Amino acid sequence: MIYDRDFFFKKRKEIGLISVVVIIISSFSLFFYQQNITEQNVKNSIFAQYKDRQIESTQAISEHISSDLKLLKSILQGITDSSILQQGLLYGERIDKMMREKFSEVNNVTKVDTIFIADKDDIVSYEIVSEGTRRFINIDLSFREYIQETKNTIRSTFSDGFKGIDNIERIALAVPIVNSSSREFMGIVGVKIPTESFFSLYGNIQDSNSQFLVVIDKKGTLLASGADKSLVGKNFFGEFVQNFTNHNPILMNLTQNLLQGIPGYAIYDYGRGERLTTNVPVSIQGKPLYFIQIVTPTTTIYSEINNVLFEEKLAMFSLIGGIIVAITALIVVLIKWNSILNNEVKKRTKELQESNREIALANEELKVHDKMQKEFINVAAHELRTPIMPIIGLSELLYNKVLNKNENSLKQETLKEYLQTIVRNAYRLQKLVEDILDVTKIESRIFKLNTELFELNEVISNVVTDFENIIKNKNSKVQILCEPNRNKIFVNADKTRLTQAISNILDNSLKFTQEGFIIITTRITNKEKDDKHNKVIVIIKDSGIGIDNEILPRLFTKFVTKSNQGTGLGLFIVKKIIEAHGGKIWAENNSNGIGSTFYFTLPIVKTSEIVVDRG
Amino acid sequence: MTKRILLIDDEPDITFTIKDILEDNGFQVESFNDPILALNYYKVSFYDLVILDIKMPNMDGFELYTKIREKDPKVKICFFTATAMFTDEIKKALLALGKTINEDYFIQKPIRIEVLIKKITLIMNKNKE
Repeated sequence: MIYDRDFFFKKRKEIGLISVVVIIISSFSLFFYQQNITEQNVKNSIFAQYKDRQIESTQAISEHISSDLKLLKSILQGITDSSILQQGLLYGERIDKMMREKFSEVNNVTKVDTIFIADKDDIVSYEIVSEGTRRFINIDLSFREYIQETKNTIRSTFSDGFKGIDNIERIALAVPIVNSSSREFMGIVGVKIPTESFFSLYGNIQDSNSQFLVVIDKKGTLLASGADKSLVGKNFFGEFVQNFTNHNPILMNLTQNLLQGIPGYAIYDYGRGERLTTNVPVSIQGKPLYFIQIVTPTTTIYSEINNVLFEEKLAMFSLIGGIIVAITALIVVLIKWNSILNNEVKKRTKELQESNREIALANEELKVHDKMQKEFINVAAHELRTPIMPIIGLSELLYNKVLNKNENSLKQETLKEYLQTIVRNAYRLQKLVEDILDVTKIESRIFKLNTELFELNEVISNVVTDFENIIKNKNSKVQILCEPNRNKIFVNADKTRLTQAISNILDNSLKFTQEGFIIITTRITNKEKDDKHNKVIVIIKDSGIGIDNEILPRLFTKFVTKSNQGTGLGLFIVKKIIEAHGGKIWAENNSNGIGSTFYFTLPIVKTSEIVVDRG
Repeated sequence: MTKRILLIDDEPDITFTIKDILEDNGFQVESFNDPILALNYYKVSFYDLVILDIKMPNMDGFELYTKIREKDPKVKICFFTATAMFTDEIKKALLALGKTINEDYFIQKPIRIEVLIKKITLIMNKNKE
């Protein structure tokens, strides 16, 4: 489990990255999947909406045309009902004046290039034409169907398309002049309308690439066509147009229905791209006169749809993008947070481990301390009890003998020996007690030096003299030698402690030297030019058994002893005394293999400083 | 009949003291300060009691005990020690040697003469170890 967790911790960045990628991929896949499903529906629905809108707009265009034509008709009716015409005047100045006004009036409504008056025999009596239009004054118009129809029905007539000599397709509106009282037919007022310029007011008849307008008359003649200009004036069912439309049956069927007055729509492609066509007749007073088709290349619809879809997609895309950015940011934050937490946990764990280790270390130290305490008690007990035995034993024995007054058994020699032994052991006990007290002082850190200024050679001489006496008393074969330094060596030290230290070293040397010598010398080191750092080295060399290699590294450690008559406290105390003076102590076996040498250093005081001190 | 005691302790002052005390109390005492020397001069079936120090140079009391036992299986041996570690650790040390020993065979240093004589007499009067 721990391994797995570690693995997760180690790989968390990769895992985070992978999850981000997975989220992005799955979001977009879902998005595109959803998009594909809905897109077709949306397309269909938008297309249907578009178609409905086009039907409506086609209807509106039809009504617009129809209303304009009605207006045109009412203007013409205004002319026929005018008093001038009712009086039978069909030309002349007054007519001209009125007609000019009316011509501009109709041209305000729509594109009319000719306004004319014909008499009851269809002869043009008056005419105004736009610039560049042929005049027909005195021409007989009876060949025109719409003239005949108007004359026969005595009703306003909108003509089918017809071509003049100028080859321009036109329609015409003819209104009969009927005497209001006698109801007698007096002639016709009419306008001719060029179909292309007229219908171009209601729709595009130029460009087949966008939505365009096609207008057909009752006979099927194309009055205007955005599909192609060449189709104007041609019959839809004729070969020319049919070839153009490739005989497309859908369009054919649609147009046939249209001419029967049935509005409708169709989608077809006759080779010029798919198109949507909506059909509505243009009727006046319920009578279909013309037929319009609004044709839209579906590519424009689809491009519109696609625009809508694209915008929608873009919006969705941005939305998803935003969400992904947010999620990614969240993941990054989580990873970062996790990493921070992880680091914190690591840090805390480390601290805990550290503190545990410290505790363990302290525990170990306590154990060592405890062991040393026990060892101390053991050694101290042994060393303290041993000299007590002769003291108690011999004292008691002596007492018993004195009590028993057994004079014979107590020779003078024996008595002396008993007392010597008692005293010796008492001293030994005293020394031991002092050592133990010293160690206790050192360890409880109440060890203090009582320093004074003195000459070192003197102190060494005194210690040596004491030892000479001891050696003499012991009948030892060891010779103790002192080579005093030629210079006076002043030290600022604790005389008693220093004496103790030198004694302890000599004591130790003597303990391990059965015969030969112990030599004490001193040397001043002058390595540093700075007087402050000048030192004296005290060297104690013996010819004893040397220091056991096992003991040597721990020589100055408490309880370390090779002797069975030692506590291992002496050299420990020496080290502490020397160090308290700012010195160092060390020992080595002599290079010749006989005995060992102890060295210790002490800082010395310059003579000049002493003079100042005394002054 | 005078009882014979062998005393081995590395401290000359101890052997000197104990020897005189025991002799004053009617025992015949031989003493050594060096355990190896003591072993070399050991007289089998001669002593009524062997008194051994434990902490000695060259050979400690337990080793000496084992060596003497090898030479003289019947002799009575007791320990005479100043160490603080008493029964538990000594018993352990002896168990390591495959021996069990009664506490009665331990004499603690220092000891009053009266108590010492009483203890020694008790050990000598024991039938078997």
